[in-house]
Amino acid sequence: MSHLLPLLWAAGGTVGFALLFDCKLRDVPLAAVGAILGWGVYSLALDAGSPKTAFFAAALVIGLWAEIVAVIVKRPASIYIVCAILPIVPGSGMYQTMLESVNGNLPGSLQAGFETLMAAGAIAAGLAVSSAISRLLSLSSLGRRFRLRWRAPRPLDRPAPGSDTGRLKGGNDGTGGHKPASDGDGN
Amino acid sequence: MSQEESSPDPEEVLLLAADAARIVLESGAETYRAEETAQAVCSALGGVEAECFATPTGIMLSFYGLDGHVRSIIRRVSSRRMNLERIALVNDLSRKLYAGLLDFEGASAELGRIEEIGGHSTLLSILAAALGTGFFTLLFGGLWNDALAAAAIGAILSRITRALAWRRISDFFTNIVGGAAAAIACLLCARAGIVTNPSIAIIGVIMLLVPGVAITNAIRDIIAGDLVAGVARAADAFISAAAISIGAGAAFELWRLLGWSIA
Repeated sequence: MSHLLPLLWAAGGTVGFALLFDCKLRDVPLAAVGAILGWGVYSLALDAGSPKTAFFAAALVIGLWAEIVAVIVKRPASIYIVCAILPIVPGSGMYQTMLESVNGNLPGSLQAGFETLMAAGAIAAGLAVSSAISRLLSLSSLGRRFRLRWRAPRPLDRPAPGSDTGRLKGGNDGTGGHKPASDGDGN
Repeated sequence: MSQEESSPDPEEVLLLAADAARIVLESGAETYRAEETAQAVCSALGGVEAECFATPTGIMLSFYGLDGHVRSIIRRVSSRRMNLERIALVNDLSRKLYAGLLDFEGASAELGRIEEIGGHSTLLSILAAALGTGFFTLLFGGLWNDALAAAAIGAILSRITRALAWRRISDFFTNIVGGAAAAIACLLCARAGIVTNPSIAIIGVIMLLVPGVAITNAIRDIIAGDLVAGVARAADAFISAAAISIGAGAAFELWRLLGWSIA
């Protein structure tokens, strides 16, 4: 019983914040189920292993749930992720970190800050893995085809405006292609 | 992609794409979603190639029209407030545009409608804030009386922050006020004997302000290779957390000066 009540509370809190984030009413229960799954996995993994594993596993489960729901109802997965992730997200850790440094307690602030970043990193990694899995299983094959197609059109049948074309095309071929890579170069 | 006969004015397309990306970003979406939305709108409506670079505070979009000209636009995004329904609707719009179910006129009318969509009613969002803060206080180990007090304080706090945001007060100041108000209210309740664990109640109430999702999204952005967006989001998260803690820290300091105990 003591393990089941927090599930209810995680769901209730998620419902509250989903409504606060102007989530449509019919999406709210789906997000709440994600929160229950996430918190359940989190507390099970916390009993079995370290906090980092627990954060990672919970984020993975929430991410997969959101991806599955997203394919079924044809809405972006992140609206379910944002709500369902709230119970495990290290909001109080951020507050604790800065509160300790406002109080001038450097070791305490570093400790809390490190734990917060670890938790956030573990959650982010879990979500990244879940979205990679869903791509691999082509759960989101619709979305992927969509994405590849709109990257694809090359300016082959573009009316040639003269000698500029070669230069433009050259520069274009150099920077075109995968978005993350070109973003990384740009920064 | 040969829509030369029916293709709308490239400038209009560019404006539409930039607006779609801006709405998505203002509603709190990830930067990659804003980029993909803008690119989808451009290429669906006859742009040969579109490139978009978005950060949490702005969008740069440029595109090759079928006439061989390059056009670009920059949009600043100054206010961000979570609105998941808008994100879903714009996503739906770009999907429909790409599938050819919508033309330019339809899309701009639809986007106008999406821009008009407000949030839930005041009553419902007050209720939502109370629900969220109350249940999170329980989740963090608070007792029933802590949760009820936190729910009442959270409901009021959500209105205070909304009112300050309306008056275009900076987020930093809003967070200081929010942190201080939450801490003072919870400590007062503790003094009156209503709240048993004020520190848990404070954390529950502060869930309304605290950037837990922001720091997670920052790391997600960095993992995905959106380095500028990720670093910007992380800075935003730390600054908001700092503001909240300055407010709460000031309240604690006041309590110390008054010689009252902080349980």
